[in-house]
Amino acid sequence: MAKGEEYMEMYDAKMIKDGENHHLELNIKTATLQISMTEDLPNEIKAAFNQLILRLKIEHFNFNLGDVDTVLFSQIAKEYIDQLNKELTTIHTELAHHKLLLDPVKAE
Amino acid sequence: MREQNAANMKIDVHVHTKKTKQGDAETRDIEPKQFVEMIAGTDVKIVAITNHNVFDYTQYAAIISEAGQDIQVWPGVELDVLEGERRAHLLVIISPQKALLLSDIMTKIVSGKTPDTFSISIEDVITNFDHLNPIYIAHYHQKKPNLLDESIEKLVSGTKYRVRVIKEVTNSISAGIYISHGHQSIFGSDIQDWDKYSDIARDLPDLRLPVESYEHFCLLLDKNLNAINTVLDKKKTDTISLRPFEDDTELDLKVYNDINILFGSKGTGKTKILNAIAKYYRDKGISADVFETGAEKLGANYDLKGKMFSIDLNTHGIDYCTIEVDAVKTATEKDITNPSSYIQFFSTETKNRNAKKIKIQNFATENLQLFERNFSSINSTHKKVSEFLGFIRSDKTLRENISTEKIGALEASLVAVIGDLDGIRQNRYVELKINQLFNSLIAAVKREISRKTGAPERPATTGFQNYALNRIGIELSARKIYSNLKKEINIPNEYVGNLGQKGDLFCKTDVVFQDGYVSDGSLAPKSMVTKNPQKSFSRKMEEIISCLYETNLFEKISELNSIESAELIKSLYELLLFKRYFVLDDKPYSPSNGEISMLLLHKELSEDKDVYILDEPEKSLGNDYINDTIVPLIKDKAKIGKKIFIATHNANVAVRTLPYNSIYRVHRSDGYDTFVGNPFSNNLINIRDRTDTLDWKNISMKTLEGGKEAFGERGRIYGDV
Repeated sequence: MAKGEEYMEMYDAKMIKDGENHHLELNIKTATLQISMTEDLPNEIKAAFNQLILRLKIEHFNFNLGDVDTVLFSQIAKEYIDQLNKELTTIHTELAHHKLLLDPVKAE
Repeated sequence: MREQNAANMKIDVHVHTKKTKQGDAETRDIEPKQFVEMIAGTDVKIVAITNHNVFDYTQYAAIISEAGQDIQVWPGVELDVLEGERRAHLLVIISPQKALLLSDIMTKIVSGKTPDTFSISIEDVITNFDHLNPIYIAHYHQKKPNLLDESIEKLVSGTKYRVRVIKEVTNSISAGIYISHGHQSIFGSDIQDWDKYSDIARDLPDLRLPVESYEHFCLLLDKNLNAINTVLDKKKTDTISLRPFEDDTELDLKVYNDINILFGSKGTGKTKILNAIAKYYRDKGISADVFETGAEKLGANYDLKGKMFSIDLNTHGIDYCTIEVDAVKTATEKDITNPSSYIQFFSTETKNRNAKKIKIQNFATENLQLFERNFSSINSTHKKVSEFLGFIRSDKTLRENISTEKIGALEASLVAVIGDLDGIRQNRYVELKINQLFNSLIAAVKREISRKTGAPERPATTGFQNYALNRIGIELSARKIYSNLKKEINIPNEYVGNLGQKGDLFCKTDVVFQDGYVSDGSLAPKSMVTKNPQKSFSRKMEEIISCLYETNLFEKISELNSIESAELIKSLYELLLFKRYFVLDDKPYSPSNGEISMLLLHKELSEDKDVYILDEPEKSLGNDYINDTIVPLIKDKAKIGKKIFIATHNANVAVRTLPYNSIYRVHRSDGYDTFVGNPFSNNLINIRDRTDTLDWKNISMKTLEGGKEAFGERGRIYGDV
């Protein structure tokens, strides 16, 4: 890591197939979050987003997407994670700007 | 004769400038130059040198030479008087014009003796000194060694100047009491140590009338009408025409810019006259109201109910949080992008080759928040520096007091800074606009491709960013509200007055925010919002903070808006609670009726007015408070030329203030009469018939205290003061 560059944690993201259903599994340090990709469940997504915000207060992180077996969901997952990673970074910057970051040692 | 104003004019009839007897302290020795400097450093304008059995003319002449016109120095001597076996002290003070004669007499009578062995009889005092037209001041009662009453009587009987025999007592309290019992009393410093003179001088007697010379002082003692009227006439007067009574009778009164006492039995129209005086001055545009005491007035004066009490939270470092309260109340959830949007887009293969070539549709949009913030911060700094430059260029005071070169250098620096800021500002503005255009371009391209090809639009965002920014915004607002709610508000105590030995009374104002946990029932809401909604609102705000990143956040916000009167809570001001109360030693205290009277009167006299009109200020007050606090305050007002009108039945007020003007109202068989006079001339003259006169002292005693017996009774009560 270059001098002055902020450390960023990388967590795993997987596309899970369960029969006809696919969902993204986001593994952050304290929880495993699920976002259905085949069904619109806004409240489930918002609950996951809330967890992501709370984690961002503790550390800056992005997701690494693992292999996805189907072409369609591979494209969707890649697009989704790419956008999400960019937005996670933006929000971490905002949290830092507003002094809403938590001390990692105390927060964990 | 010198012109002097009686304001802060003190007299010291008893000082020593040298140790003459073995028992004298060496600290009584003082050189002429130091003596004059010491006196000049105080309010003492008249001083009598009275060393033990010695008059040192050489020293006196040196002092006179040093003193110039500012201080009157009267020659005198403190004699050891021997009456039978009893030794006592008697001051003999004479005119400065006869100082040399005094020196000769003292040389002659002390010849062959020392100040320690010298003594003189009352008869010899009269024989040797009476032709010098002296003032005799005898040590009396507690002032040791004192002359007995029979010795003083012998002196009074033998001298040609009976009214010039004065009793010297130990302090102002004793003097006041003896004076009110009809004794001519005074006290001097009898200085033992000149290093302590400045402190001692503060308690020396004030002269009510300006005294221009020793001879003038004697005339005033003699109650010489011409001398008194000449002094009184120097004070500013008005003749006021009043119609105080129902029958429209006109009452013309000459009133002084000093103390004007109105006395007489109850029912003689004193209050009506005071009201007419107040109206007279009000009609002239001068603020004037009749002061009356009353227990209920103190609470109203200090606004205990808080009707007039207002508070600016900003001055206490507290934000009203108007924007934040509104932001939380009107917050709504931000939608996220549903996964179906992604499935739809990626499931639909765009056939259009040209559309596929447009790579811009695949670009991610930029976070504008950052660029907006960057531009806003530089813009704000630029504005502040520019305003400062404008101030530097326009401020007259700066230009009048700072050199042109320095101002020029400062301007040049600021111009350079603004130039740099301008450059940065332009760059940031360009950055912001580029990114706004970039995002608009991506959105427009996507929209057009979708429109032309019929394929779904490519999702630009998961929705996480907007969702999170919305929640962060709510958190910022809620936390700002909460942190301000927890701030303390300290209102300085308001001084109400002194309650003697109990200490100072203050009016305390407690102001707190209802943060959800305040349960003090004595606190009242500052606004229209009542206490329960205040409490519910703050509790709910706390709940909101606890679930900022929970799915039920907006249920809590909805509950907040459902609270009764929530629509009236627009800022933290609506959550204020307060109470005002009196404290003594920082503990709540309810003053008694007497104390309330003391405080109200003290407050009235503390206010700066041209005219004070007091109706029976002594009501519910103890004589100690009247003597020690109120009388000096009234005298102070008189010294600076304020008009004071007091209707009173109290001798301490009517006599001890030594009013320039006493107005006596009396009902006689042929109707009401008004007399005017003063204690200096000791007479009262009927304003309708100048031949009809009364004795001021007798009338005062009779009317104010119920007769001379009452005065005598008081004397016995006070005993050996």
